[in-house]
Amino acid sequence: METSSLVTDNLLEVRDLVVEFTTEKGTIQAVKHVNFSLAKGETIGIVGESGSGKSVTSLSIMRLIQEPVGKIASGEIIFDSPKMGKVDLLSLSKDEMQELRGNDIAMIFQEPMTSLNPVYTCGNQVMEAILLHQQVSVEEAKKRTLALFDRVKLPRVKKIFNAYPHELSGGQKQRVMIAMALSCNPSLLIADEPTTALDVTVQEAILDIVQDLRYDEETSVIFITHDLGVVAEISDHVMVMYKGETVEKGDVWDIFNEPQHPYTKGLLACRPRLDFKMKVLATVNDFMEVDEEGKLIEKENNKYKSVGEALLLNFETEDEIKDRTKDLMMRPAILEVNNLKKYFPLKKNWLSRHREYVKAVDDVSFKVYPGVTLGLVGESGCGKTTLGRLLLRLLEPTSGEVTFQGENILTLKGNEMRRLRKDMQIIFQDPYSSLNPRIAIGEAIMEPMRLFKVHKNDKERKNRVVELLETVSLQADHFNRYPHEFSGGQRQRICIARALALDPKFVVCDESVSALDVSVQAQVLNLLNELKEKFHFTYIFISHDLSVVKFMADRMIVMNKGKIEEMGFAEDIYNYPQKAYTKNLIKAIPKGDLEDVRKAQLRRKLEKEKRMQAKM
Amino acid sequence: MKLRNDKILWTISFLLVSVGLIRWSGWSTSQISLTNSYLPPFQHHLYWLGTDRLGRDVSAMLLSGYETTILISLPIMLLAAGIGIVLGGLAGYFQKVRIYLLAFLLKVIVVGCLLWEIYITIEAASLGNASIYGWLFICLLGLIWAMIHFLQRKWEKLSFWAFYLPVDQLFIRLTELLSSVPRLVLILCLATLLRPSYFNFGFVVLITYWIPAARLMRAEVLRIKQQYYIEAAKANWLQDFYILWKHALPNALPTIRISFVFGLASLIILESTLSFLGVGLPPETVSWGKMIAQNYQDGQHWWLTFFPVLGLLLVIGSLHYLADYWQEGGRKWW
Repeated sequence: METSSLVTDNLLEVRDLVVEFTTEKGTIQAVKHVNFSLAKGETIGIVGESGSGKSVTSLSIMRLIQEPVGKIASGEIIFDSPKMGKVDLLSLSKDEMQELRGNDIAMIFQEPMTSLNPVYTCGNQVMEAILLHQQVSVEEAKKRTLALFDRVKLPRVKKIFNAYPHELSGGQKQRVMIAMALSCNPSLLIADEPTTALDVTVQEAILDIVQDLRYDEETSVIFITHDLGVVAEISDHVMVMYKGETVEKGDVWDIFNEPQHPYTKGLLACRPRLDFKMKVLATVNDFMEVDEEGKLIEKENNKYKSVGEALLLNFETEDEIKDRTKDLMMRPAILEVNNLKKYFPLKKNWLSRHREYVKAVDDVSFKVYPGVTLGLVGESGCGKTTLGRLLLRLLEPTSGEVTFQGENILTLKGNEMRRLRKDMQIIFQDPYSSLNPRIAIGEAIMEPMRLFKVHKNDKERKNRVVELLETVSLQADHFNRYPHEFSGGQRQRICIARALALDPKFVVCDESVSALDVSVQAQVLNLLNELKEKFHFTYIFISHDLSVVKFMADRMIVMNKGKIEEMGFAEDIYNYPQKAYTKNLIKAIPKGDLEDVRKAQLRRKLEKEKRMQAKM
Repeated sequence: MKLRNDKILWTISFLLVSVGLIRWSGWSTSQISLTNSYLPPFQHHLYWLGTDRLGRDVSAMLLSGYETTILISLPIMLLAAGIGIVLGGLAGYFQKVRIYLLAFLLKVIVVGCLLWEIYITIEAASLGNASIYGWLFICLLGLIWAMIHFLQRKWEKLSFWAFYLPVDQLFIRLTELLSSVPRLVLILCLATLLRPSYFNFGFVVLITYWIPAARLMRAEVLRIKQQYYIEAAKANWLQDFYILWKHALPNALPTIRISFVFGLASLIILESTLSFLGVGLPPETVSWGKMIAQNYQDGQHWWLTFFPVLGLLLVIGSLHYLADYWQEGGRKWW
């Protein structure tokens, strides 16, 4: 690479950065001696799970660490500012930093829903940023705002200029945020999980915008994400962080081709793949363990020697899949849905009888066979969650039929419904709010048993709870603990245990792993599959993540705007998608395999040369 | 943190223990001794805080006034918070309730009679001429209510003319209506109509005091309802009232208790204001408001107004201190 000979020309250099947070339990180092550098026009991807210190690193570059709780304990951040020359960001005064922030360094945050002020129009907010940092007239600022909106490919820019944030979709809001960040032509853009909350198709568009930026303006980008697929697509260099430490960094090809650190290997192996079906997902723990000093070390007698081996060993051939699913489909359906509809009234007009509706679920029919996991995918707002709730009668449908084990559950009343309820359970998306913070987890799991009078007395029930806790790899002494003492993954396990308490036959998993880190996600997915084998459940697995659904599901439904777009075997849908919608959806997923990395690298190189020639 | 907890414990014990002090001390507020009138404080070994025009002990009156204040305010506030929690919780949780007209009308009539009967009986009891028949009648009405309820459940023919009653909307309108009337004016009007007695005073104050707690409870329940653990409970087809009791209430209580303490403080001020104006409480009760009212123009004998005012400040201050502590997230019940 040409730039490597001019190391000193780096736009940003972070040296030996240490960030500490003071809590009640003492001082915690959130970032431990992190070093990295970033050249002009390059993109570095920082990958890590929650708590790895990746966001804290980026916030310390912006000097946005909240004092006095957090503190940058030591280190240097050298930034090559166009105006001030090379400066150490940590030694700048507050005013100087304010000047830099906005002008030379800009940031995009994860949550587009809350990063815009709801009481001002989108145009106003971007204009405000321009007026604050540049000496221009209001008309000029407006003109620039519209141009920016155009650049981030927002449709009908004039309309959006006058729109309030709530009138826009998540993707559009994120574009407005990017426009705001770009308003002053920053030389460094920090993107902190900018696409995590968005659908894959929207994510693809946002990634394109960020790519374009690099070609057009030579903007350097720090791209923070937990998704290795996204990193493969967008970055030149990758830094992998774990618990505040850099475990590995290097060229994107090297990291994907030959990961050195066991953690990186684990991360690469634990993602559900789209290109082939696996029986079990490898987990990070297959590759590494923590020794007595708290250091990460490679497992000695490792199950898998490399990432490739981990994938190969768990590969399930097409014939195996067909064999497995063929006789399952012969049995009578456990759940049958006929013409199910759910309309939400949009505007109530008391003058006229005409009402407008949102058709959340619009005339949906399908069958679920015992033991066959049905996956339900679609983008946000496609009605998949509503459908899941309708099946359990958490919502009353507008019309239609849901037959569970031969009984139409929509006409059942009180006690009859309760009897069926035992056989149907749901596991929710957010492990943080699905447990009552004021009830000990043992009690929470015992509660449904007690109400349905399963087992003779509380002592027997308690034994059963302990058994369940052990099934989901928690310990018996967790019984009397409260939810806040557990991590997200553990909480989701507790929720699973609670769902299992009544021995259900049918479980709806509504985005059950979406809020979890990839490595935890792999463990929970494996657990769900193990439980299915053990207790013979039928799952309906709802997710926006096609690769997760493909891993879990035997059959799959693709939903769009309340309707079923496509239905069939997961493999068939993935390999031979019939509808344009499904094709787009599959195309938009960053796969993160080696071929993609090479393609992305090549594309970038070509594009760069093309622009260079155009400039000449 | 530990030290803070101890301080809170001290504050609560100070507030509670002071209530009993007057009975324990054996001092009297009614003992008149004209030879000892207008004794200044800290001079006499018997009258620590001095005496008033009639030679009554100020320290005794102070303690007795505090007892009056707490014995009136605390039960009223508890009741108000209780009513608020129930009404607000129901309104927030159910929003709309399916009503069967006939059974509903019957129930409304019975409940109306029941409330009126309870009012009359308790008033009679507070005046000392309680009769067993009143209580029996209340039990009878309760039985009739249960019978209607049971019949309507079992006998579907009673379930005609069903419609959705927008409980939440009704609740909001009712609270808006009640809180749009200036509280003091409403209370003064009602107080002039009714005989001054503890019971009437409580009744008058209750009319407006359940509203803040109820509104807060409704808002909390609306928030908690969004949480997945409520939905998980519903997925298990648990009874709505069970969910409200076991899952919603414990999570709403930390917020409610803060508003409870603030409400208690404002109720104490209201009680002092009313007795300052000479409304509401029977004339023979001792209260801080009344002490201030009798002596505030008397600049010479400062201790007669100073100590009740100081007492008020201390009590209100301690209550706000408590509320502050809870607001900052003090986890324990104290």
